[in-house]
Amino acid sequence: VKIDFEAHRVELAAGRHVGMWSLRPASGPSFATPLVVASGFGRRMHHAGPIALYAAHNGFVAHRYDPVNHVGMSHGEMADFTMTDGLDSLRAAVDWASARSAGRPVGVLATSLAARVAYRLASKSDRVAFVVTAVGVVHLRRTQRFVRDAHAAGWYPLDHTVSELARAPQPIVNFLAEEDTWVDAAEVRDAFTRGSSGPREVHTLARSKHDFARNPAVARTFLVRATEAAMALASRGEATEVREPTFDALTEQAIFERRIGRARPAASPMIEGDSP
Amino acid sequence: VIAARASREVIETMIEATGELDYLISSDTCFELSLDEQRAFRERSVRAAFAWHVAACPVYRRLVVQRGIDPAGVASGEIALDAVPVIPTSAFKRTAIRSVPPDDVVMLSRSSGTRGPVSTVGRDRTSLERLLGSVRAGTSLIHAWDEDEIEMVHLGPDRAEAGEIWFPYVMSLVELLHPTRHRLVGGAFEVDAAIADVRSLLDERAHVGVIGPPFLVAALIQRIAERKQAIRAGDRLTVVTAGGWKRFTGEQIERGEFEARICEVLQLSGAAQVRDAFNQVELNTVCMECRAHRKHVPAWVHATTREPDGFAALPRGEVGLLSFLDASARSYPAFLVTDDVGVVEEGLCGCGRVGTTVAIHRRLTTRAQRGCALAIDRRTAGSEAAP
Repeated sequence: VKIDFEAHRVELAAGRHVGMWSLRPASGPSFATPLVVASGFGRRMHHAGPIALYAAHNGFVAHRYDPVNHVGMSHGEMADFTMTDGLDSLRAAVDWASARSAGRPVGVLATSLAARVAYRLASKSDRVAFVVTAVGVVHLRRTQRFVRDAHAAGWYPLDHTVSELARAPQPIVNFLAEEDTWVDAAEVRDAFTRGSSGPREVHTLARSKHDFARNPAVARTFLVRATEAAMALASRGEATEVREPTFDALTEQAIFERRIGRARPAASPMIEGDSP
Repeated sequence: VIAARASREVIETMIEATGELDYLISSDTCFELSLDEQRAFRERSVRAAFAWHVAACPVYRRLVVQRGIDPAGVASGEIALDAVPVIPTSAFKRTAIRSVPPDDVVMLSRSSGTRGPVSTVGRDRTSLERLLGSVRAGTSLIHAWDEDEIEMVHLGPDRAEAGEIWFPYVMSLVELLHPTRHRLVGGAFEVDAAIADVRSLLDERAHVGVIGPPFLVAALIQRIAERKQAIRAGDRLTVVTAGGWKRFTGEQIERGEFEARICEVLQLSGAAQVRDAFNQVELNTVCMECRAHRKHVPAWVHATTREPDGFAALPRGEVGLLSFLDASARSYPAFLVTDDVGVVEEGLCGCGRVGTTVAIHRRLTTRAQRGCALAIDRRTAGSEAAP
């Protein structure tokens, strides 16, 4: 499957911008619903390359972004990061992706802390069609104690997550790691049960840890299952077999993207001035 | 899916995602296990791999039958691992040895021989990912660097240029782990650019890695010395070599002198910043040196030495042909006897870890050399500085 790569710059308010990458099947997407992939805290777009490539190989247009005030290709420095920055960035990416797909709602694939942001956006935006998360954080106080606006903006308590999930009618699927020391599976079950205003699924990968990528066997299981979930949600339940990209394609994409990240901004094939 | 249940409107499942082999390869603790834990893991993983290859690889199954080995005896533990039949690595030069259908092979790797037939080994995605896992695990013997904490200067080609040649290919994949500059471009070694890289990266990065085959590291060091422009790397640079210890001329590079020269020219804080790694195209695991300069064999590999005739296993510490039962290869049986002469030891290492270590003395090219060199090595065992 031939996949095209594009880099974009999406403008936010106050002169800030979000760097985005898109992967799309060269022959055109087979799913009308685009995807936005949100990397975990401290991770950059290239870390989410495999899930984006799996999605593109299976007919999705898959967009990624680096949040503002974070590592990566967007505006600002990591020391200034707030959860609200994460929300603003995901909202900008979703709005931009939706606008490029004739206003269609967008599927969000988010990892770890970005999942908490995705749950809130799903409760507020009808541009979110569904959410698939990896090791999705529901209780920020337990996971990350030093995010600057976590208390003031209501990110900390588990009950806030529950109430946001309860206001999100979209399907939400969360893949958990059995040996996760950051995310408590019981709290996820509790939050998803009390906040089950739409279809909810919790899948636990046995003997896995918070960083799925660390064990390629776990990573591969997640990549297939998450792609399968997105395909089912985008096609309203129609079962389709996932086609895996080759090892060579994954390696080539990973090296290509790492080189862009390293050479930024001069060598990046950036398409300037896109706005949501 | 190994379990599923629904509570209110939440669908829950438990999914089997990894076996114990991949679990250990990807763990942070594979070199921290006790000797008993390592032995127990080795027994389980190698016997499981044996069962897989006997069932899936006709070539290996024939060998097992020829040797009169009962697979049930291996499965039950009655037959010792040392008795598991091994394949001479030279067999990979003339026979396609596979345990998976050809379509599952994603990398056909070749040894880098310049004359005569070369070994060809087909790897599937699982085998390659485990090989990479062994590199990551081995690197932990040096330091657990974050992705951007170190930048590599690779004295070899990038992945595209490396093609199917095994050593350059494996080394090029370091770019998947850390930012990397490749300095063998179009077949030419860009030695001055590599020196410039080292200098600039020492200004920009917390740590610099220089990786490459010994003869190119030697060429780099020689050029730096010739230019008489000191590089004071201190404790912020690590050199990792892998590959043969001969120059293009065939002259052997002597490890002790080599290491001392690197430390002197780069003004390193200590010899622990120079490490060597062992691998060959038929082996699916990279064995990295610890700070005591011993190559650690992870728990999924059973290493021993063997007699050159008949391949009978030798006691620990006795010089012989190195032999490996590597459970990490899924697409072919990495149950090997090599042409390398060396020693396998088990116990407490100078680095403080316990486990199996391997020392490689030399590689043999002919059958006649085997007997002769083994005799010499046994007379000099213990007095030789092995690379």
